[in-house]
Amino acid sequence: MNTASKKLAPHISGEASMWILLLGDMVIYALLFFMYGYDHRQEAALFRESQTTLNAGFGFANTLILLTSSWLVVMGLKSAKTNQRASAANFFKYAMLCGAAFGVSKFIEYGLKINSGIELTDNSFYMYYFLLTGFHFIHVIIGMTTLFFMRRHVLGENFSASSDNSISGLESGANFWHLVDLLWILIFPLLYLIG
Amino acid sequence: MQLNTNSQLVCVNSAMILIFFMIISFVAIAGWMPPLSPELNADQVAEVFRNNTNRIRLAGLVMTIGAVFLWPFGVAISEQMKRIEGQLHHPLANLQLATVTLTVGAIFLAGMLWMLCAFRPERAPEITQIMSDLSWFFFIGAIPPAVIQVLAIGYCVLIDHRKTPVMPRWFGFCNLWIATGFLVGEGVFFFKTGPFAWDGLAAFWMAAFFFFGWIIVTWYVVRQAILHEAAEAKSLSAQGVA
Repeated sequence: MNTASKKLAPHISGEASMWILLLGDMVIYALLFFMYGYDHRQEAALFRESQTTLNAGFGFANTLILLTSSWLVVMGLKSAKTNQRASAANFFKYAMLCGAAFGVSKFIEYGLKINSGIELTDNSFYMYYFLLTGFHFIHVIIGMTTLFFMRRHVLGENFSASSDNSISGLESGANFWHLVDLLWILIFPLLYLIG
Repeated sequence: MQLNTNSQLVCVNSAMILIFFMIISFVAIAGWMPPLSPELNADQVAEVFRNNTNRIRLAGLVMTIGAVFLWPFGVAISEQMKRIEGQLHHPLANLQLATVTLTVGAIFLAGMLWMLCAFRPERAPEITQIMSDLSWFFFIGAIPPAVIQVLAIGYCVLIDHRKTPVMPRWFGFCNLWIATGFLVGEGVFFFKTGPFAWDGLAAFWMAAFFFFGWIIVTWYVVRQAILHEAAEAKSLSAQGVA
């Protein structure tokens, strides 16, 4: 393929078939949000009252952490495309550290809840709170693992900035991280803010 | 090379027998749509087994028969995975087969426990209740092996870098997605009501969608892989290479 036709061809970020995972995951979360919304209507007072025990500060800090990490991944991808491998690797590393910071903050938040006597099975609001954030946290861990392998690839000998395979692989990983970010941006207002 | 195409097709098509038996047992005979509510107390659970004794015995029997048809299906998947991994070492194919065995066991044991509950339904209700609970734990909650199984398949499909892969790459990502879908069923040990209880929207209906959806998609993809393999061998031997 010459460069002219390459430019004309529509570009799908990452591997096209990976979108089955990204969109599929969004569908699962959409269904969970729908269930949350339905139960919220059924027990509005209980949900509103339970929501006041959450600390929106944690949620907000987590949002900032993940938005920063997404920006770092974008910068890393940019560096990788221009063959600045060391800087790309650093960006991915810092994004990973953001993921770790998110994890630490989540542990503190869960710890405070459990210490104040709040449990998963107390009522339906806390069920959604722990399960939606818990499933999301699993995504964060998988995303951090993905970033680890992206960093390794960018430093490894199989990487080439001009290879479609290399870039598309990195884009796929980056897209997963953006999904992690996107899901949190939906979870945060839903659980912490909208009463 | 001997491909045993027909034996492979018999194995992969057993997925359809599995679906048929499971639906006949669960929907047609037992009529558990949705399942027994986890909210029922011991007397109410015992009542169900006292009033439907032979129906539930038969449903359990059909379920145990259906469950074993998941085995050949798992074998068919592994046979195609070995084409990706190689004939000498194929850890992911073996892992897939090992983990599918536990899922076979979980469905089989659920059927056994329904038969056990209905075998002496006049016994103390608490005893029936605990066995009934256990049957639902197996039937809906025994998910970790299935998660590892679909992850093994997904990973194997995605490391296949030949020009025309044995199984399409979307199928690899589809398996990773299904792994996340299965996880939603893990709430059954904590809740007796709501979407995450074993009769709930997430743990029952979504999990059923993912389980049967996975079987149908996998059946189609693996069957295509078997047929392509056979066609490839035929064209090679026509050229006199084999």
